[in-house]
Amino acid sequence: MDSSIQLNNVSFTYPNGMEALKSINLSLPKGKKIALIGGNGAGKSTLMLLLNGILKPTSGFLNYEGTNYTYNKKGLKLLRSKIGLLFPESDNQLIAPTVYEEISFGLLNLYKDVGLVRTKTEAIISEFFLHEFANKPPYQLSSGQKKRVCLAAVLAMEPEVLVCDEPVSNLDPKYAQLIFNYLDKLNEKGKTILVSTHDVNRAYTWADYVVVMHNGEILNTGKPESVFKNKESLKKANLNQPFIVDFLNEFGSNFQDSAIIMSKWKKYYNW
Amino acid sequence: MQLVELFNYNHKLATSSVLIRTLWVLPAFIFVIFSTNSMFHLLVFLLFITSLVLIVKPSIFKLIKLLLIPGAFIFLGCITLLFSINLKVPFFKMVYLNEEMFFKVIVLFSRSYALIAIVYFWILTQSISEIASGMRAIKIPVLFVELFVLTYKFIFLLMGSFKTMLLAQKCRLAYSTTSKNAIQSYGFLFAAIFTKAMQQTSQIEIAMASRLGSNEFCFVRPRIVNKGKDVFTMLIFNGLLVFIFVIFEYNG
Repeated sequence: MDSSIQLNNVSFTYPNGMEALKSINLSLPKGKKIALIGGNGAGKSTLMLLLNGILKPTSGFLNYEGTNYTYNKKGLKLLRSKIGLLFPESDNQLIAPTVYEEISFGLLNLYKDVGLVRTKTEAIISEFFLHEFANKPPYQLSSGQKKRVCLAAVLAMEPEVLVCDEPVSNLDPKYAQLIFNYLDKLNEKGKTILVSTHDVNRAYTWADYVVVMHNGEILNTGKPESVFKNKESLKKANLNQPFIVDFLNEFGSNFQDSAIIMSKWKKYYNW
Repeated sequence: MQLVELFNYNHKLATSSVLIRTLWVLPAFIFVIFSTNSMFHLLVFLLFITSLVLIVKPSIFKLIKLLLIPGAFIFLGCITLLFSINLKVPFFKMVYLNEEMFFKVIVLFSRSYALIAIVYFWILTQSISEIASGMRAIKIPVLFVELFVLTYKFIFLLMGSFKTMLLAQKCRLAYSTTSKNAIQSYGFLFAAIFTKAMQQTSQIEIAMASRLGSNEFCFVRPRIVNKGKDVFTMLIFNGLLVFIFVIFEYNG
C-alpha cells in the first residue's frame, strides 16, 4: 500500500507544556478515504495542523511522498499547495468580503496570473453551485453554505491530499451528506481524504481506513471492519462501536461475520 | 438598524464598474454643495431616492428609517442656528427666533438631505471589497485598507458572539439583580469578547497560512466589462442633472 504522508516518531508539545502528540508513527495510505477518530483532546486537530505544516513537530519528522517536510518558505509553499486543510469553524477560515474573493485568496497566493485565478475561481464556483451568492459576504450565509464555500476555497487550490477537521460539525444531515458526496467525488479522482470525526457510524460506512487516537497516541489503525471489531480500543478512546456492528454482536459471535458482510455493502447505503 | 439590512448584492448596477457608479453620484455631489437652491436639493433628493428604490430595491420602511437616523443631528444643527440668545434683554426674551437664519436653515436642511440621499445611493451600490479596492487605487496605505476589511469582518463576528453571550448571561440572571452585579456582568462580557477577538485573529492567521497567505489580504474580484447601456444611462442621468442645475441656479 503506497503511503501519501508518513509520520515518524512525531511528538508535539504546545508552548504551555501540554503534550498533544506522543511519538506517533503513522502511514496514511494514498488515494484512500481515511477517518481519524478519537474523543475530545485526543490530538486529532493538532495532528491535522502538523500535516499542513502549520505546526512543526517538537521531535520526529513527517514526509510527503518520500520527501521530508521542510519548514522554510519554499518548502511550506510546496507542502501547502499539495495538502489542503479544511477547518472545523467556518468563521475562522472565511476572511474575504465576498465568496468570490474568498475562493480567489488561495489561488492568488499560488499563481501570479490574475486571469488564471479568475478562470479557476469561476470554475469552482460553477462546480459548487455558488453563483447565487458569489457576491455575498460569507458571514451572511448559512452554516452549510459557509462550509461549502470553505471546501470550495480549499479545493480551488487543487491539493493532492485533503485534510478535513470535523467537516460536518454543526451541519444538518442533508448538508453533511452533501459535504461527504463532494469528498467521495474527490476521492474518485484519486485524492487522499483524511477526515477527523467523532461519528463512528459515519466513519464505519464512509472510510477505507481508520485511525483511532487517544491522549496523543495512536491506539489502532486498519480497515474499518477490523478497527471497529475491537471494542476495547474504542472504549479506551471514549468511542462506541458503530450501531450496526454493536447490534449484530448482540446476537452472538455467529453474527460478527454478518457485520463484515454488511460492511462490504456499505458503499450502497449512507448511514 | 444597519446599512447592511438594505444591501442587495445583486442590484441592477452590480455588474457595472465602480467608476461608472462613482461618476453617477459625483457631479450631483458637487452641484449640491455649490447650489443654494432648496428646490434643486429637493429634486436631487427625490431623484436619488427614486434611483435607489429602482436599482437596489430596498424595503421602503427600512429606507425611511435609515433616512431618519441622521435627522436628529440635522434637526439639532438647524435648531441651534434658528434660535439665538441675546443677553442684553430680560430673561424671558433672551432666546428668540432668528428670522435672518431662516433661509440658511432651510438650505442647510435640504442640502444635508440631498447629500445623504447621494451618499446612501453610493454606499448601497458598492460592496466592501469595492470600497477597499477603491482605497487601494487612491493609494491609501495597505495597513489602513486591511484594518478596514478586518474591522468589517470582526464587527459582524463579534456582534454575533456579543448577542449570544449576553443572552447566556441573561439566562443566568446576570442583569436582573443588583446594579453592581450588572456592571460586573458587563465587565465579564467585554473581557470575553476581547478574548474571543484575540483567539479569532490567531485562528484567521492560521487559516490564511494554510492557504499560502502571508498577513496580506489580497483578493481578486470578478472581471467587470463596462456596458454601453450603463455608460449611456449614467450620461443621460448626469445630463438631466446639469440641465436641472442650470435651470434652478440661473433661471430660478
